[in-house]
Amino acid sequence: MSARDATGESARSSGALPLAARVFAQLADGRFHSGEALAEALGVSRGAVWKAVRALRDSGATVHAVPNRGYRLPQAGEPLAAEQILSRLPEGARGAVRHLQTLWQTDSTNSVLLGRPNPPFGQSDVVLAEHQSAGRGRRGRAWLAPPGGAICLSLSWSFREVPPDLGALSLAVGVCVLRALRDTGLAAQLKWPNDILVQRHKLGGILIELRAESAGPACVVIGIGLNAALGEPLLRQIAALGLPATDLASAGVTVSRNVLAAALVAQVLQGLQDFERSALRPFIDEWRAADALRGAQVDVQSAAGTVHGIARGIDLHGALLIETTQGVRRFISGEVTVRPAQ
Amino acid sequence: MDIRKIKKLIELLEESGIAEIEIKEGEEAVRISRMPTGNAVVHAMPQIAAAVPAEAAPAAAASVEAAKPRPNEHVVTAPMVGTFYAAPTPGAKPFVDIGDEIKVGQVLCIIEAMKMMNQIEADRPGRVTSIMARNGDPVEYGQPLFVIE
Repeated sequence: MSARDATGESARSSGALPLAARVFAQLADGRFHSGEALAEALGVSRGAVWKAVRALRDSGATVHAVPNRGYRLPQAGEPLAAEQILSRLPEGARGAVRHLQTLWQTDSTNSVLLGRPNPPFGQSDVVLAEHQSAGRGRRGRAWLAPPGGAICLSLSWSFREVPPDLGALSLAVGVCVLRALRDTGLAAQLKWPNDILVQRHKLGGILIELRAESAGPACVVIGIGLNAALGEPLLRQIAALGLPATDLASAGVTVSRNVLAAALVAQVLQGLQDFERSALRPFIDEWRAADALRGAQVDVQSAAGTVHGIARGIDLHGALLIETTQGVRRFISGEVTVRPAQ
Repeated sequence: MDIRKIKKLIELLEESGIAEIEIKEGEEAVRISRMPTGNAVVHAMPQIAAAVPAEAAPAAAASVEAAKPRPNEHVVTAPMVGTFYAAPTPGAKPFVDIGDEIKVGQVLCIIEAMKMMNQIEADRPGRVTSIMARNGDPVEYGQPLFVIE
């Protein structure tokens, strides 16, 4: 099955692949394509191509249009393709993936998996989307992901029973993401509990949602969002909101999103098995070594109010330790902001 | 019942001021009570123990036995350590109120720890007769949250 078949197949299960997606795939080589050539290649009118380009722009993509030359994306990039990702998974991980699907667009990849039955124990369903319209970030912030600009990946997993210290799974998955990034040569940091940073700029985040009863099996859906190539205008727009962000392209990572997606799936699947056996222990040293907050003056905002202190790392259960004038306090929930240096 | 879970329960009991806890899980039930010395003791119990006098249990447990939920009451406990949220967003209407009739699968609350969101759903229908945590409260593993009758 070719990469294109894989994309087509996933589209069939969620309606026809929109023309915008097909135009995007044509433009993915980063070269100029005239409206006429695109229309011919896709068997549609030039007017339809123009509408598709407008739809791409509406969803946040940058498409350059130059008279007499045609349309072009700012950079070349491989479209997400299920077959490309599957073929790069190591043997063990491939056996554990029950179903891997790439979508052109969805409201949120986590919601897609939460709406499906749990995979059996030891198996995983994976969903990626090229464009996420209602991605959920922290505190309900939208996760901006224009087509081709990000990796929006969700993965479901069933634990035989709720593992102890389940909350610390957020931190363990953070380490899995670091491991996948390290393969590309990028050394990233972690900000408690679940932000991935490069030089104090946010590269991505993790949101885990769980379906569990007080006893018995637990199904988790792990959502990972990484900025791949948001482009300068969007990065500036995000920075203006007071959230300094970066992307893989700015950090010098050149591997395709399919390669990185495969590395993420493999690392997270291995990490889930390690976590089920040994909780945070196999991850804690790497977490501490990548702790972006350690020693910083921070404010922790929680339901109980705001506490100021110095970040002193995490304990064995993944809780954040803050040294305050009244002694060390332990947090399992809260928003951490770093105070600007004085 | 998983030995790890029992160990965890013993640790919890030892850290708390509680003298005894009892957890029921399908066919199995376990009651852990604290000896005067502070050590925890585990009593494995068949499910029917709830309906008959607790013969094997020490006499000291009798008063606790009386305080147990009635047979038609069901206690929903926290599946993980975290922060209890009664509503989907700050300021929003709570998922459930006392007296509400609820259906299986209905969301009762969210428990969050380290940005891991756990929607707690009702595993049986009934009426909410008690809510034992307030919005923003920290909750422990196995802590009772709701009583459903």
